[in-house]
Amino acid sequence: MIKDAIGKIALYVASSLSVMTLVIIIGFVFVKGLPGINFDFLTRQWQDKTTFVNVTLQNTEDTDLSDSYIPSIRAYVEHSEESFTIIKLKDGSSLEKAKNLKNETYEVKKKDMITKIDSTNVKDMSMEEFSEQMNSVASQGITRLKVTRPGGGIQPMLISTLYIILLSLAIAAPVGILSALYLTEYAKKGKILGVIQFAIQMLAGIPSIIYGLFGMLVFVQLLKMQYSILAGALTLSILLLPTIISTTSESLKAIPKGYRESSLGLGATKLQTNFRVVLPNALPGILVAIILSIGRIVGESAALIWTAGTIAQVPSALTGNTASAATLTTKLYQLLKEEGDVASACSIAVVIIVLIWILNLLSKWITKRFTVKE
Amino acid sequence: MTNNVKFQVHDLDLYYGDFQALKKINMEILKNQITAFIGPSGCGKSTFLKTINRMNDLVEGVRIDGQIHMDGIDIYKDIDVINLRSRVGMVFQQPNPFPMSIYDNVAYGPRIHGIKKKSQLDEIVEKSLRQAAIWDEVKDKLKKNAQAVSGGQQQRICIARTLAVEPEVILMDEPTSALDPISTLKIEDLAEELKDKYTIIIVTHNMQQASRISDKTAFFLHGEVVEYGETSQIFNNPKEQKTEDYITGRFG
Amino acid sequence: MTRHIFMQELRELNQHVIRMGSLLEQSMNDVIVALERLDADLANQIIKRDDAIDELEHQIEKECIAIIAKQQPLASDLRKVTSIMKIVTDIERIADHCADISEYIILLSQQSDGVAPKNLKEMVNTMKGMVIETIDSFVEVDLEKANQVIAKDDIVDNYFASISDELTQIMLEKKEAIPASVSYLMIIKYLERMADHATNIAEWIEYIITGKMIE
Repeated sequence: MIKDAIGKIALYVASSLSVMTLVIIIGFVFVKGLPGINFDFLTRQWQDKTTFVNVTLQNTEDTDLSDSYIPSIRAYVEHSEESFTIIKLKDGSSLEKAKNLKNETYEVKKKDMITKIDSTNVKDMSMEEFSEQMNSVASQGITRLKVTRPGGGIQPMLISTLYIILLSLAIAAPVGILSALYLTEYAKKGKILGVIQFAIQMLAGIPSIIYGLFGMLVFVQLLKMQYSILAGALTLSILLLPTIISTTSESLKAIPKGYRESSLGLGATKLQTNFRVVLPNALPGILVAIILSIGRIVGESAALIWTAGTIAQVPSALTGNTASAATLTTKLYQLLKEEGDVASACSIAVVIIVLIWILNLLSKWITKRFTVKE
Repeated sequence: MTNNVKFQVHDLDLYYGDFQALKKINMEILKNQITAFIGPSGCGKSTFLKTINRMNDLVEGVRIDGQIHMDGIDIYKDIDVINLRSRVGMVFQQPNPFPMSIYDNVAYGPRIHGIKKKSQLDEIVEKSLRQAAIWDEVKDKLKKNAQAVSGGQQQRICIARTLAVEPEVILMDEPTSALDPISTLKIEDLAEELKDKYTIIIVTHNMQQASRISDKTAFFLHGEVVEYGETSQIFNNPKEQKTEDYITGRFG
Repeated sequence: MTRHIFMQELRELNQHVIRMGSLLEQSMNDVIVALERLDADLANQIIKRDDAIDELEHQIEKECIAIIAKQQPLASDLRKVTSIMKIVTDIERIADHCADISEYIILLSQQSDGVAPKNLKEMVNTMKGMVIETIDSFVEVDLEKANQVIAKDDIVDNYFASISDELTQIMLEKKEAIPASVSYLMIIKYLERMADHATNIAEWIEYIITGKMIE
């Protein structure tokens, strides 16, 4: 009796401990991070971006009762500490056709901040002075404005994460699936197969920082890819292969032998059998493997920091200088380590947790959808 | 008489590694007849059945000596295995339709053999399902998953799937062992009907089944054919004591 | 050994056939004695025994049908069960004929002027031998004994021919002996029929053993 009671108490303590830990962690992250999440946070660039633009201002008779309306640029502005922030643009505003110094169109948008008109700093101007200044320069035609677009958003990380997911899967999924197919359907059972399977198991157990180290040495340095999404994706592909291979193998093995025999018995070749019967039937398993892989990519940091870099930008190439990109998780790591910005880090963490949660739901749904017979 | 011979088996030995599973099998299997193989588990009857469409090729470490001639052609030498299997179809113990629609199941064989035209496939599917005596039961649900119908219906769909390839021979490996008695009788009736067009070889554990539907029966024991003859003779008056012991249940 | 219940049922069936056979053997013995002494009492006993044999026949037939329905016998078992169904019919017929003969014995006991044919005793003894051998060949599953039974059919037929000649002669010579002679004639006819039935039984026994049916 006493033994039973002790056992029960131990069980309750252990399980409530783990539930509590979970609640505390998630709670902390959400409490800290949730206030920082809004539309701007998800869509804005990470860093402020300052650009000089040329605009052709016109003096018009257009007037508005509001003090904050500047007719020459057809915009409503708001005075903030060091600048004037555009809060609304009217149709046909010349700011929409602004050009940067390379003469490319650079549309000035709502929430952009004007900090200089030609060489005049607007810092200490009042609303009237700003309005006057704008109207006065209007007569000269082209005016150069210094415009700052505010950052603080995670859009580049979201896009980089997506890129890395797509790129890694594009490499790891076909290789992994075909390897699994080879290992289960073609390879002769024996020592070599045993060794390969052992190697795959071992690979699955290696800490990801070691993959990162390998990726840095081989892809970043030896193959001269520099910190780039390609180097990151290749490293992640290697990291994902064991999971994809073993999950796919398991679902291939679960396919009834009868399907293969029936297909072969109908005069199908082995290849036809594999691609028409075996692989389609393994699809739910493969999908789950891919979704789990996406989760792994989203959550991965160690393997990416030294391969894909930590720059918060949308990469514009696969390799080289402009290809370096931080994913959500690497950015989170960097924020904590280098900037100590816990609030932003928690906001990113909330986004990551929600993403992983959605992926888990998706994989559960697929498993359920395909295992229950109609 | 020789014209009626579909398969001529000559001194067939089969080894799984060191284990000899079939010993010097000699047999003539006749066209448009149902030939039944009976015998205790592990006697080699299923193994022998699978040598006829070379399903044993899939098993690792298998070695086969001797010959099987189909219409005078050595099936281990003079014919491509894919061709052989489309001429010698097989129905398995467990009804195992692919997890796709009834239509796709039956059309699977024709499709892999290159038939793509919808009208032609429609025709084959209907004809095969009719031949398998299941058309009326499934004609309104051809798009339904084949695994959603009853076991007996699944097995007849599997038979239709085999017929769709237009084989000459149908091998049945305990085709009713997973079915209820009524479904079993339906499959037996079907076999009777099909034998006008096909040569049927059936492995069965059910001796009543062998005696009900087969023309000839072979009794296998320890990899050997103990006795092979007219079914009525085997079940009424077997020549060999071992056959007698087996079919009267005095075995072992 | 598998199929214990089936084996048990087959053994019981065999026992019942043997019991039927031994009842018949008893009747056969009694027929010999009654015929010699023209003993009406004994003849009545034989007639009574026929009912017991009839009942046994029905019982065995039911058992056979039950075994076929429940056990689906095959090969030698099948031959045995189906043959037994035929055999008991023949045994029952022989027993019937014993009863028929007994009725003529009763009649003869009241007919004073009869002359017993010389070879009648030999004929009945041969017949008795056939019945005993038939039962033995069934019990011992003995092909040779069954063949002997079949061979003896001709001997009985020969007796029938010679005794009927003898009776014709008696009737021509002695008018008063005609009623009794007619009774004797009927008796030997029955004996001849019994031999045919015994031959049938022997043939079924051969079928049980060899699986070959004698045409």
